[in-house]
Amino acid sequence: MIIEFGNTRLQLLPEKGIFLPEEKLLVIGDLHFGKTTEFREAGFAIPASLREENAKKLIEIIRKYAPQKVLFLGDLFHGKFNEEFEYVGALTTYFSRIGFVLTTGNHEKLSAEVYRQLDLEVVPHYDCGAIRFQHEPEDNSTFVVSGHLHPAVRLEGMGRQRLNVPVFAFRKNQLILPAFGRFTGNYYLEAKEWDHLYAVGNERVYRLK
Amino acid sequence: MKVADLLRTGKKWFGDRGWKVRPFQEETWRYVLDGESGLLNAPTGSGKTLALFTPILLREMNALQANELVALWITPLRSLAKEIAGATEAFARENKVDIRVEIRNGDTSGSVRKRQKEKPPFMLVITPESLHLLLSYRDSDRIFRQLRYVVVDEWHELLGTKRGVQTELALSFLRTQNPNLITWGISATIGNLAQATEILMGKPGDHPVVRDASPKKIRVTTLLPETFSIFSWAGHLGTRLLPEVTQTIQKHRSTLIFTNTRSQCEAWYRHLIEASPDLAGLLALHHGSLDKEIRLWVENALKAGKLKAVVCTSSLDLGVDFPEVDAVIQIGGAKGVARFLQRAGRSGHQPDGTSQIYFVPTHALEIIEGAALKDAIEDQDVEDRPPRVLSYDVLVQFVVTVALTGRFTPEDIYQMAKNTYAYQLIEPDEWKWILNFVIYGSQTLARYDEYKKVSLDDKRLLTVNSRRIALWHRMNIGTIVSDDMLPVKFLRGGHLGHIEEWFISKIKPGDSFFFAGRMLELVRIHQMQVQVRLSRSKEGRIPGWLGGRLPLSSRLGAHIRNQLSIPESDYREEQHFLKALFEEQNKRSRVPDEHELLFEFAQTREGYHLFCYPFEGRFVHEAMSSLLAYRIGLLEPISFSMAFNDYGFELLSPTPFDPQLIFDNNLFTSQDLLQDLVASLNAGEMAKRKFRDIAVIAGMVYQGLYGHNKKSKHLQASTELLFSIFRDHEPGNLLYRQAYTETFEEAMEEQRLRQALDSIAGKEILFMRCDKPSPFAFPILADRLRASLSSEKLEQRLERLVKQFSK
Repeated sequence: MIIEFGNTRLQLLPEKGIFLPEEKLLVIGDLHFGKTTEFREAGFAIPASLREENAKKLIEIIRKYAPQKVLFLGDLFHGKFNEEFEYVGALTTYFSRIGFVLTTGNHEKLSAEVYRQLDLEVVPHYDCGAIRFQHEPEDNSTFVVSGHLHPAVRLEGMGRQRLNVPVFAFRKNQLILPAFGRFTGNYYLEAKEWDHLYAVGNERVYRLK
Repeated sequence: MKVADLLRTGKKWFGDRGWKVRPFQEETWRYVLDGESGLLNAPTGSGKTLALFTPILLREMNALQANELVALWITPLRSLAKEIAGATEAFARENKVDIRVEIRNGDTSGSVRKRQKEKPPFMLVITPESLHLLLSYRDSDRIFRQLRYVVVDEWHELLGTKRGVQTELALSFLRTQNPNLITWGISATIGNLAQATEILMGKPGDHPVVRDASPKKIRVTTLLPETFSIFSWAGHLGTRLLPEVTQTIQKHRSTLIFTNTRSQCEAWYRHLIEASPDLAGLLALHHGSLDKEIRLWVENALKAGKLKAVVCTSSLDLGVDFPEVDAVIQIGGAKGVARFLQRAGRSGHQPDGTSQIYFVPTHALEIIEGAALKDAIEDQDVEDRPPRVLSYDVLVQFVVTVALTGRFTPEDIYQMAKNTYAYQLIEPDEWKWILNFVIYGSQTLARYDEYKKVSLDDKRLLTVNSRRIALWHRMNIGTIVSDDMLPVKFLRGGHLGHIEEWFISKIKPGDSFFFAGRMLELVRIHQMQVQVRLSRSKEGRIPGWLGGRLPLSSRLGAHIRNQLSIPESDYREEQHFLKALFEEQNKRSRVPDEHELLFEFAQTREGYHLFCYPFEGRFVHEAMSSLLAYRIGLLEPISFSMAFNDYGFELLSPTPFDPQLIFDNNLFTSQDLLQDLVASLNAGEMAKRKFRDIAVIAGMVYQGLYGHNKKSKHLQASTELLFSIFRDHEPGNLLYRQAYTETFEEAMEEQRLRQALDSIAGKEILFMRCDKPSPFAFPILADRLRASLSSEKLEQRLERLVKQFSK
C-alpha cells in the first residue's frame, strides 16, 4: 500500500514497517530486544530460542526490501544490557553495507555509547525531507513519524464478529507505526479520533478509513 | 484393654456430657479400635469429628508419650482447623487425657512451626500443602516416627482436585515409614464412595464405608413470581423475585443466600439492601475475593446468630457450622445435585433438623431446574467426583519436595508414586522423563540452571544442593495458583479484598464501582494497589471475576430433559407455572422430548442463527459448538461466533449457510474427535490457560514471594512463552501434553462430550425453521459468553470487516 505523507511516497508494509522507495529507507517501530532476557533475570526463565524470532523477522524484512538505511524508531532495546542485545550487533555486522540508525525511545535508558558499540547511529530524531522521525508522537507543524504507542484497533462486524489488528494510524501531520516485535502488546485506538487507519494483514495492508 | 472396655469408656465419656452415641459413630469406633481403615460418609454437623477422634484417643490414651506426633487431621480448609483442634483437645481434657492438638497451616507463625517440629503435639490439624512442607524437612522421619493415624476431612472436596493428588502422595510417603498407617476419610455423599475409599488407601481392598443411616431431611421450594411474562424473562432477571426473597429472609431466623459468581453475590447484596434498608447491619456478604478479616468477621457474626442473612458464593459451601442458619436460598441453577445438597445441608445443622432450601431461578427456563432437582433428590441420584490421574506437574513438585529430605533414591520415589491411585499407571518412560526434567531440565530448557533443581549424590540419593532453590521450592509448595488480583484499600488504610486487574483497568479515577457491599470511588492505582474512598454515587459497575463457573452436571441435565417432556398428569408446580412458555415454544418451535434433539434455525438482523439444545452443560456445549463450526468450515469457508449456556448453544454467522449440511455429512460424529478438537482454535487457547497453572505447580515459574505480586503479569506472559516454545520445539514435553489432557478432560469434558455425541446419534433430530428465536433461545442470546472460530483466512475476514467498518 503506497500513500503520500509529507510530500514523500511511503510504502506501508504488511511486515509492520514502512519503506521510502526513493530514499531506500526502511523504518521499523518498537522491537523490545532484551525483554525476554529481562524476564529470565527476574526469575522467570524463558528459553532462548524464542528470542531469535524477532531477529529472524528483522533479517527477512531487510532481505526483502534491500534498504540502504534502516531506521529504528526507538524501544529497539528493553531494559539493562544483556546478551540479547548482541542480536542487533550481529545484524549490523552481517549487513555491514547498510546504515543502521536508532532514534532513542523511553526504554533506551542506557548511555548512547552502549548502543553505538553495536554499530548503531544514535540520535534523538532523524530528519528526511519534510518528515521528522522520532520515538514518541508529537503534535507540531512538521510531519512526524513515530512509534511508542503500539496502535491497534478492534474490528466488529455482523454476526458479532471480532478481530484485533495492529494499525498504521494517521492524525493531522502524524503517522504512528505499529510495534514490530512480537511480544510487545497492543494499545487499542478509538477509530473516530484518527483521520486515517490502515490495518495490517498477513499479506497486505488494508485501508480502514 | 479390650475393645469392649474401650467402647464402654467412650460411651461413658459421651454419657457424662448427656450425649447419645449415634449408631454410625459406634460403628466407626469399632472399626478404628480394631485397627481398620475406611471411609465415613456423614455430613457436617452430625458429629463426625468425634466419630473418629474418640476411638483414636481411646486406643492411645494408655500409652501416651510426650512430644510424639500420633495423628494427623488433614483438612482442606483453614477455617475449619480451629474448630476441630479446639473441640478435640477440649474433649480429651474433659476426659482427663492430657494431650495437645495444634494447627499447622499457612497462618502458623515461624516460632510455633519450630516448636511443633521440636516438640510435636499428639495431633496436628494440617492442610495438604503444609503437610508436604513438613515432610520435606531432612528430619521429617523423626517427626513421623510414631504417626499411626491419618484422617482426611472433607475428602469429597479434595478428591478430583490436585490437592487430592497431593494428599494421595503424602499418604504414600507416610506409608513408607509406617505401612500399617490407619487411614480414614470423611466424605459427604457422592456417587462414587467406594472408589473414593480405594483412592485413599492407594490400592483396592476390602475397606468399610460407614454411612450415617439417618440423613437429614431436605425440603426444596422453588420461588415463583406472582405474574409471569415470557418475554421479560428473556435475560438474566432473578431480581424480579426480590420481594419473594425478602419475604423468605423475614420468615426465617438466619438465611444463607448462595450465588454462583462473585459479581452475582455483590449484585444481590446491593439489591437486597436497596429493597429493604432495614436489613442494613443484619445483612452481610462473603466471597473469596473479600479480605480475610472481613470474611472471618462475617463467619463469627453468623455463628453468633447476629446476622439475618449472608449473601455468599461457594466460599461458604464448606466450613464451620452455623447453628442459627435455618434456611438456604440458591440463586440460579446449582449446576449439580451434590452441590445443591451440600448447600441445603448448611441449614438445620442440629442433628435431626430438616434442611430447608429455596431455589430462585434467574431466567424462565431455569424454573424447570427446580423440578429436576426435586426429581433427582427423590431418586438419590448424586454425581460422581472423578479423581485426577497422572497430573505430572504435581509429581514433578513432589519429586523435588522429597529430594529436599535427601533420604530417598529415585526408585523409592517411583514406588511412592506407583502406590497411589493417581500414578498407578505411570509408564517407566514417563517417570524417566520426569526425573530428567528435575535433574537436567527438559531438552529446550537444558541451558537454564533454574531447571536443574535436583542432583544425585554418590549414594544415589536425590538431593537439592542450592539453598535458593530449596527456599523457593518450599515457598511455592501447593497446587493453588493465584490469579492476577490487585488489593483494594481505602486511602486511609483498611483492606477490602482483591479485584481482577482487567476489571480495574477499565475504570477511570473518579468512577464508581460496587465492591465488598459498598459503593467505592477509584482514587488511583498506586504501587499495584487500588486506592478507593466511599462514593456517594448511586450508580456504579459491579466487578467481574473470571472463571469459577461450573457446568451443569450430566445427571441434572438428564433430569431436566426428562422433566421437560413428562405428561401433564405428572406436572409439578414448576411445569404448571411454565405452561405459557411451553405453549409459546410450541408455537415458534417445539418442546423436545427425551428422545429428540432440537435444532432451530432463525434469521435476524444480526445474521443467521443455529440453535441446538443438548442440555449437557456449558463446557460440552462450548466444545460441541467449536467442533461443529470447525467441521462446517472444512466444507465451506465461513466465520462463526458462538454462544452457549448450560442448556444449549448457538452458531451465528454473518453470511448465509445451509444447516442441512450438518446432517447430510454426519458432523455430529465422535469419530476423529480428538484431532478435530485440537484443530478447532479453542483447544490451543484453552490449553495455554491450563498450562499457566501447570507451569507454576511444576516449578517452572515461581509465583514469587508474598507481597511481590508485581510479577503476576510477567508470570502470565512467561508461561505463555514457555507454552509456545514447547509447542514449537518440544511437543513431547509431558507438562505441555498435560495442558491438553486437562483441557480435554476438564474444559471440554471430553468423556462427556463423546458420550453426548454418541447418544445424539441415537436421537431423533428435530429441525425447526423459526421466524423468530424461541423462548429456549432467549437465555443463550442474552448470554455474553462468546467465542469465535473461523475457517476463513485472516485476509478474508479482514476484507469483510474492513468493508463493514467503512459503512
